[in-house]
Amino acid sequence: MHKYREKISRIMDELLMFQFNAGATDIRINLNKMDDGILVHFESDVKDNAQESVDLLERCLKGGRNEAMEEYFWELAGGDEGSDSAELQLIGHMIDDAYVKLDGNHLQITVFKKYQ
Amino acid sequence: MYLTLHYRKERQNDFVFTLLILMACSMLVFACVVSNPREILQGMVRIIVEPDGLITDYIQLASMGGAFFNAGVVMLLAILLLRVLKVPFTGMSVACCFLMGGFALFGKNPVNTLPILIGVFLYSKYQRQPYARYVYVALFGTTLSPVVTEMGLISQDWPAAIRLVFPVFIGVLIGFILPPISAFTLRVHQGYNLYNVGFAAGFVGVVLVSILRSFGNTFEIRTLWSTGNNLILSIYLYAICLAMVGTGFWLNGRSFRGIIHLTRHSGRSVADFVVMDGLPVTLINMGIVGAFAVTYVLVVGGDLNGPTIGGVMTIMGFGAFGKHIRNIIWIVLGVVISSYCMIWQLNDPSVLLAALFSTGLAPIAGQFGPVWGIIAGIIHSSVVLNVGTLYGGLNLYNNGFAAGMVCIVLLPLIQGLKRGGDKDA
Repeated sequence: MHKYREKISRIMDELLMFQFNAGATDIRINLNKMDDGILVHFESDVKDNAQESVDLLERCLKGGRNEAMEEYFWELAGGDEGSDSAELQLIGHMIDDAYVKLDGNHLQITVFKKYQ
Repeated sequence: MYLTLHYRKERQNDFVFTLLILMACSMLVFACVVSNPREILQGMVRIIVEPDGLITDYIQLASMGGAFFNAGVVMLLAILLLRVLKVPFTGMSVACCFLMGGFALFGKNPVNTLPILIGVFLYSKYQRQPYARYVYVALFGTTLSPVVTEMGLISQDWPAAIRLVFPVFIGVLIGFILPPISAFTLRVHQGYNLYNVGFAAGFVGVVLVSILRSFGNTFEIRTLWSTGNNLILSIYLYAICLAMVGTGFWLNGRSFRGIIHLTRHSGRSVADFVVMDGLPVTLINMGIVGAFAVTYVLVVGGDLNGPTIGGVMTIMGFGAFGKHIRNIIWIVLGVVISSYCMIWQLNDPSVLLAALFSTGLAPIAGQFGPVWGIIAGIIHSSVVLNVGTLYGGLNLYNNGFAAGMVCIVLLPLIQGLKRGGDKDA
């Protein structure tokens, strides 16, 4: 679990920033420590025209885990307000599973990261 | 291991692997075309035993065949290492393998890179992590390979056992300490310097060389620079660029669709074009930036040789990971402008390399616009010509170190001059 907690924190930071940029007004975060990893669930209400950015988020998060990229770049994750998708792509490299759903204005994001 | 010439999006990984193998093989074939086996073998021996600090053009030191054969072998080994470790082949892998091949024309060889690779391996074991996690630091970390050969020269009058162990020990030590340092430097430049390990290795090199100088050692900066091969080398490089653009165009449904979209990325790490825009468009981009780099060298009256081809290959490789024509052109323009008011010429060896490798700062132009890009290029050209002596030319990514310095000065300035705050809070 090399720097695991720091990485989870960065992932949450980045996804929180994504929701700010999508005009989220009411953000709820739920974090579950499970046997094999941590599950983070976000729910928020975003602005009307967020579909395109949510699609991009889903593509990035489902890009597949890449440990080599994760270890090299994970310190860049989180805390940036840039509009480029590069950091979302990095989050995709750091997680094992993701679920993204936009229902009207209601956005749900769930990410799972294994301990190893 | 799976080689395929049949491109399918879901098997993109294997196709990228195949293309990289083909690139490495093209260097081996080119070596066999321009030199006979004897010249290649003698060249390889010279490359391994001679010092490799900046600027050591292997074409001048050995032979064109020896240099290209060495480059093909080093690139092939890097590709196979990534494959054996089951690292996905994305834009980062392309950038890394092209850089390895390019720098094996002027400083890296299979022998001097090995101790650093072992050092990073030992660090991964120390951290109880798979080697795959640190493989990019390991490969990029071979920027300090000349240290290994240099340590061999320093210890040549010592007892035989120590003489053999000392260079390997220093190389392994460098590899062992590089991962945490490169993680730290990444935070410093926030991904705006594409040559992060060059920045980290620069600091290691400065400390190491300072210690060794305290013991009375001296480090000679030399310039081995071949000339007169522009015709044959430009034919080879343009052929590679054309093959990339042609393959990309074909796989992209015989169109250039998507290339404009690719150039809208800032290029700041982690801008992996293979993942974001797909391999076909990325190949077109690599061909375009590669051709731009070759044309630049020829237009300013420079020489195509080991170091400049290293620069061209690095630009091509990072054409899959952060560089495109819209973000590199402003940085290069900054270097060109600086030549009109400063004391050097654009075709001076160091300035030529500064122009090619300054493109590691491309994300600054991509994120903050052309003016800051030009300013970054101007500052970089001055900084890079002065920092090499700090580590006695032993850090091959001299420009990576200089680019990191430019970031330290420019980024706080750019961000400090930005007006306004958050839109909604």
